[in-house]
Amino acid sequence: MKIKYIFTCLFALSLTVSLSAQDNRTVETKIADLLAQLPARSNEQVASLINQYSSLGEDGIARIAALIVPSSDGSDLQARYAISSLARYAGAPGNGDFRAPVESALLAALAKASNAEVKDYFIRELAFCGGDATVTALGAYLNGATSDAALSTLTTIGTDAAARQILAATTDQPDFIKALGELKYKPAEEKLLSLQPSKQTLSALASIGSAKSLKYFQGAVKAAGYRPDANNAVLSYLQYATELSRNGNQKLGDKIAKEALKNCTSSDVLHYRSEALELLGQTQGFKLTPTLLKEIKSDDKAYRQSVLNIAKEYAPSTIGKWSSLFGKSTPELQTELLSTFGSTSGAGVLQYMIAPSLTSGDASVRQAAITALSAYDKNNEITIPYLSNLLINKQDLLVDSDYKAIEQVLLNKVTDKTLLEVAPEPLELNNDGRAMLLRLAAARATPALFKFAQSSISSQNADVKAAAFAALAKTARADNTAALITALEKASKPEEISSLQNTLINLYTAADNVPASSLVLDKIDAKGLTAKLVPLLPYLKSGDAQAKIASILQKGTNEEKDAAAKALVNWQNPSVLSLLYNQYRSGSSSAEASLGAYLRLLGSQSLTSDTKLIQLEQIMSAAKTTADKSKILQAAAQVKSLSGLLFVSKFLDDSDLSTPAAFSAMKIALPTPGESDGLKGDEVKSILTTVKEKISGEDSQYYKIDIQQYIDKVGSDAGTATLSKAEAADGFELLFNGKDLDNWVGNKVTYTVEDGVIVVAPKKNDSGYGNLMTAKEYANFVFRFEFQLTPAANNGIGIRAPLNGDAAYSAMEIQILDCEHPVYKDIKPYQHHGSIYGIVPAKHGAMKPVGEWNSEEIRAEGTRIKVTLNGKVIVDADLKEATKNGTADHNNHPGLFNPSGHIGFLGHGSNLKFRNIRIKELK
Amino acid sequence: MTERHNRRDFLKKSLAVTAGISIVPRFVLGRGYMAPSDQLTKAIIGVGGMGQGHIGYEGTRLVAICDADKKHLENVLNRVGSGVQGYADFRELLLRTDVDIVHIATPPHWHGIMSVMAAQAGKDVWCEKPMTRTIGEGKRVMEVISATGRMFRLNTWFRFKDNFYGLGTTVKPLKKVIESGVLGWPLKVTISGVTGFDWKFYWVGKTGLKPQPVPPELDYEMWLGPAPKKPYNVHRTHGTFRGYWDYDGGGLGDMGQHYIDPVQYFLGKDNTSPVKVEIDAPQQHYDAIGTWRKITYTYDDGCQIVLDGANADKDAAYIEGPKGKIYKGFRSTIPNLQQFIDSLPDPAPQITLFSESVKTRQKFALNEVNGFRSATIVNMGVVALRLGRNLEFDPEKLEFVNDEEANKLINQPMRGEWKI
Repeated sequence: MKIKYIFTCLFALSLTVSLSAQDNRTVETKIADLLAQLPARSNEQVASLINQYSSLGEDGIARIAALIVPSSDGSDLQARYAISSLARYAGAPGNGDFRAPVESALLAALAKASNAEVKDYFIRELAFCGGDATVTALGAYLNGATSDAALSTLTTIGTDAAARQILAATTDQPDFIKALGELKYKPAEEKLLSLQPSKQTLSALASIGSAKSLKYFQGAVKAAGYRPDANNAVLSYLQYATELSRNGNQKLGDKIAKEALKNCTSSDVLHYRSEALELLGQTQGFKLTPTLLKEIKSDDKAYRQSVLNIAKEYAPSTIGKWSSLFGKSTPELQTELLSTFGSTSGAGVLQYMIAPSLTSGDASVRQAAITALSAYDKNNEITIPYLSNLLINKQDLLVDSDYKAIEQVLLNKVTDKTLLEVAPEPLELNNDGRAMLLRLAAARATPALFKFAQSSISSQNADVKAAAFAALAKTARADNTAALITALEKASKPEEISSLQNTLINLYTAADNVPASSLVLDKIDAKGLTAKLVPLLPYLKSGDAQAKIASILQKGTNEEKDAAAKALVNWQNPSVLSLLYNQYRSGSSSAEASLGAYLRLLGSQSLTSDTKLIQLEQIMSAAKTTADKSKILQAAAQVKSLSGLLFVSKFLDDSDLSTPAAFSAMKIALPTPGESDGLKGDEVKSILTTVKEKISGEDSQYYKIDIQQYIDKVGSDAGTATLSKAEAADGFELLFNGKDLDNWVGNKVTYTVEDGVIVVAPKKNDSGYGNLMTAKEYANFVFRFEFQLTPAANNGIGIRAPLNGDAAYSAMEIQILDCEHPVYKDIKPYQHHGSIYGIVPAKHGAMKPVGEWNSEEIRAEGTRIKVTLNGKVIVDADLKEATKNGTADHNNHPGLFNPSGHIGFLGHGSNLKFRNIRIKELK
Repeated sequence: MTERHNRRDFLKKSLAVTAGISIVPRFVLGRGYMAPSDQLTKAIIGVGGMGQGHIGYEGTRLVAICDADKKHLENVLNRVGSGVQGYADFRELLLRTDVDIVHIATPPHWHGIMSVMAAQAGKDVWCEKPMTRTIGEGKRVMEVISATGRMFRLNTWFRFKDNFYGLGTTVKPLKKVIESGVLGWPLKVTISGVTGFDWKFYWVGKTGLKPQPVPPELDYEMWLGPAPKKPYNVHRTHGTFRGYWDYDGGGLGDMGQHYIDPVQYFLGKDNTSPVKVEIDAPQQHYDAIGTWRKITYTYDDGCQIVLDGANADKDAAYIEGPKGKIYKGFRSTIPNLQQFIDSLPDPAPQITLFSESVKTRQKFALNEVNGFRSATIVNMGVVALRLGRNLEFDPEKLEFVNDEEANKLINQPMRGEWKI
């Protein structure tokens, strides 16, 4: 709101009067400054830039639009961001006053444009903010290369006037005809009816939906024989009927739908019948039921289902009729009726369809009923009683597939408690039922069924037995531990032994209510139980467990040692790392698994990064095979430190191991969201460069992009905050410590420190125009620094400057500018980068491409100023000499001969970076 | 009425008799019942990239493929052997009488049109994500699928199978936890690198593309289809098309439905949409898609889905509710979570094999209705990014509130004769 008012005021002013003395920049500079901030960093910034756009007025916007060149040139990128920004902003709700001037400027630019792509661009952008003026103008563009864009924008604007323009230009162009249909432009009907029927005319007339078109359609569908044809005549006819109904002419719409039903009879046009039925359903509602009851007799399953999908909408009031049909239907139709009406409500469905079908003689019908029961019973009130009845009283009827269906339904319906209602006396179930109940007991982890599971493990029936063992695992609780150990003692089959072991392990690894370790430790020495209980040792909380396994490893029988070696591999605590190390080196059958366990335990939170690295180095030295070394390298990815990186990078040149080494290096060095911000420094950058070459495999192209982006962002940006030996010896000192701006005063909002670099980034709550100055003052000095520009960036170094005022005049400004940018093509020589602004022009050609770091030196000794850029001297002047006939810019520079003052960065609203800032004072 | 015919006999007859367009749904055989041993057939449109993965889907028999790039077509034809015919124009492929399912693996700007045309030709549809490039196309797909009684599925699956990225488990236990109410309500879901999801910001477009000669094997006109005609540059096609608004939605468009559809499922929001979308992003280019920092969707009841592209919230839980949180890897603030989950009933059953949907004519787990809703979440974000402002949405009317320009991006004009 506020912005809108500001805009209209400023806009009015800017047409004639220049603004306050505080902003005496020329229009060119304002435009350049504005464009330099694009693309905007955020939508808030876009909104705040609107002030700047408004102060340019329509003329300024026109100048920006004039910067647009064919998109392949690329130099008008920021101007395009500006135009797009304006077009979208102008179209936003509440910005009505903004719209007309922007539209006007864009239309003017369109009129001036000669290149096809540029015209296309303006026409499409006008879709966002165009109104009547655009509609009028675009009439002339509805032909040739601009036709598509003009048609597209007119369609988007979509007013009657726009449609009128399109109609005026329409002879028989298919895309114009299409547009008229999409706009539902009734006045186009006459024209369309005068054209030969085609896919496009029929489709457009269908959208328009006027009764006058009826004969036209009838001719076309008759010619098509009510069958699919190249004109899609029948499809359009049905669309036409839909549109007629929507427009209030239900009578005619229905007539057409009925006609379609009469004529579209062959098996390959059944989907037309579906559509016709759907149409009739929309107007007739449940009155369509008799028709549907006839249509359901079709041989085609897909068609029948579409009939039922319509019928479903009118249940439950129509359920009586469908129920009568139900009793007389084939089994297949019964299953379809059940699955359709099962999810509706009303007692009829249950009484006449579901309940009787649960005991049907046909298995597929029974199963459909079971599933339908589940859908019907939304509050879980009747499913269990009905299914319980089947399971207990109708066992003779049920087959395998019934039990499968029942089990699936119960999984979706029962909790651990309500499961008990299914068969309060489990022994009343037959074997199939018992096995199912046990599987459900496992799924729902129902402790009350532990006893039943326990007694069932001795069943003669294989399914029941298997389900019982599985159920034990999930139904057992801590107080069942002793009983389980007893069962384990008795068990002889390997799968039963391991099932019981797993059950016990689950108990010992539960979150709470864990059985006492003594229950195991007291029994483990008993003959016949040692090997069976050893697998539990890794999961006991007691410290005695480790002593026990160590002792068995040394003194046990071969069978016991073997079990112990296998168990060690499952240990949960890194305290056994040395035991695992020994086991790995022993080369026994557990060696490989020991390596896996060793590496797994290194992931433990209790170990420090340094410890992990030591352990990795240790096992790496013992590793024999490439596969093992590769595993170790993969595990090393968790050591997110420089030493971890150095460890893995040792293997980058090993042809067998370079891939895992590279992946781990990448994982270590790059940021891990939520865990680490990534490593920094030149060494890291150098390693990552090698890593980038070595990364291979699927998706490697994307990893390479990620790595390079990281290198660019951090690797080279980490400014050193130390002086070189030579400079230190020469008397230089750091002005910027790499960490903070403590030695600086001024604008610390635009100027901040990130990763050892001073970042200049205008923010939404500053104007971007304040300076950052040294706290101290300097007279004669050598000032060295590095800078990195963004396109069109504009800044400056003020020297011998006061803390306030415009340093270009109250002192001296050594210009910083991306002067290669086209937006600066008309600047004066003394505005060029490195110039003493307004006084002495700098030489060109020493700047590196935008985005790269440049190094510069400013030497101020008395009235002699020398500027060196990337090793090349670009200014070497004496101020007295240079101004003996007045200043180059003919302006007053009162501070030019200040003997001393602060050094500072002069903000001009651009994004750029500085680093490595140091100074040597001269006596 | 219809005699029992052997499928091959029937086809021979119909091919001899008909000269024009004849579309024969395969359920015409026998007494309208397909024997379980009958193998379903499929065709794939778009075999340059993702489409190749579709070749092996569900054991259905491949009979035809189509691509606008002759080299892609030849490549795959060589791989799949005889019995598969290649097409350059999908409209011819749709005339075939022996295709049960059409797989659409083209760039997204084609998804809507092809889904509709395939359904109108009597085929069932298996479509790549995102379901459609615009909200309007999605509405139309729903309309036509319903009217023609076809089956539709999207090619994402995490709501019903596979470990779900950062969660480390399938979505099922999460759905049970949420349905139980133990986390409270409303819930906030954060999708970011911190919670285990990668937004693939490398899918950005390039500006200042220089026009290049169209390679002889590519029918660029057909490749573009409904998209505006812009000079050919290889970066606009083949994989990197994901970086241009004309064809897709960048990383958001590419991964959005994979990441967001399961969230919509476990929040129980398959029949509604967020009412607000807020964006934090740099200004977007009008043609090339850029990156974004954060997109926040808010539902009427306060539930939120936060796409944190900048990983700004380093401690983010994956799901946060007033009474509990779930973190990446299914770590939780709730004690004894696994036992609690076990005790609960499983979520409502879904059909998870498309061939079953095709045979029983019951909707697939991820169909045109719930798929439209999760695609709409993605597309709301795309519209907000392109316009550069926050938006409000009406989940019943399926339009933006008080923003005419945003509504103009719901149904975007198509080039030439193409319409949906």
